[in-house]
Amino acid sequence: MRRKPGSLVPLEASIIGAALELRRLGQDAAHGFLLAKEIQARTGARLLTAYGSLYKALERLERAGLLESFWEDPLIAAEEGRPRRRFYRVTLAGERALAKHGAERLPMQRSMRPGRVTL
Amino acid sequence: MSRARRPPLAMGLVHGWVRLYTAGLPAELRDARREEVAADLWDQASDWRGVEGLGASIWARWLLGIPDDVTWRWAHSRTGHARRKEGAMALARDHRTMTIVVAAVAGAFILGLIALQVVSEIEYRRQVDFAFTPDWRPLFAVMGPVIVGAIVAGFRFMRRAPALGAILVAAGSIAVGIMFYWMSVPLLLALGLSWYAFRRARRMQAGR
Repeated sequence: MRRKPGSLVPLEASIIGAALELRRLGQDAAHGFLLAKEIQARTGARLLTAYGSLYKALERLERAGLLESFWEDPLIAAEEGRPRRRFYRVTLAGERALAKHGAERLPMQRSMRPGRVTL
Repeated sequence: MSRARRPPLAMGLVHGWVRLYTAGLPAELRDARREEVAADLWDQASDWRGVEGLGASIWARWLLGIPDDVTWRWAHSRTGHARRKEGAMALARDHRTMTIVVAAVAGAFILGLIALQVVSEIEYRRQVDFAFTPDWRPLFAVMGPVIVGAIVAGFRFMRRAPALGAILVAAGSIAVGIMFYWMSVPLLLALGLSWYAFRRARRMQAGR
């Protein structure tokens, strides 16, 4: 099914939400595993987001201009003896898309659970 | 993860799976995905508290993500296929144009030889028989379709190869003029047609 441009599926909204939360905590850009961990913490899920789902969604968000990515300096990774990480940062369009997503979901949540809406 | 700890079997399996589904993709895309998943696995293993459950978590993340990996691969294969197809079509177009040019030159050469043979034959007949009136119909029967074909092909090629199109139209039109050299109208018509063909080709190229 084709989606409306600018609309988000729940996983995409979770990724942007997690990245913004990490930014609030001082992490300007986050790599895949950090995002997966943050999503798990925020949603209380038992499992971390699957590799395939996470990286496919990240690519989609980047292509839509809602995230931007950059690779870390290979020297840093080499010094620490680990693979190079790719970092993602939420763009202004990403923030707007999440705000719009939240605004669209709010009336639906209200109608489903009257009086129990939490922001 | 403690550096000395042996990575679980699941990690090797995920590495192998990523190598498998990214095989054959453009190097940049392939390496980016491989490196990204490798970094994720490393981070997950180093972040894990204790040894228990790490393998199960990796297995679960891998298995649940397989449908997305497959659709991701399929989407990128399709994009790559479309790009390759476009390149092959451009190559085929160039190849076809070259084939037509070579065929046109070869055809003109052969027709020239035939025409020369026919004219020599007629001259010989005239020398031996003063009452001989040449029958030009066979020559026209051969040359007519070729000339018309050249003009039509010229117009058809105009968008892709304006110069080639104009040359074919001009060659066909001038041939009409030469065959009917005793008539000035076809020659003027030929020149007019060639000029029109050239102008039309330029307009088509400019997208007007």
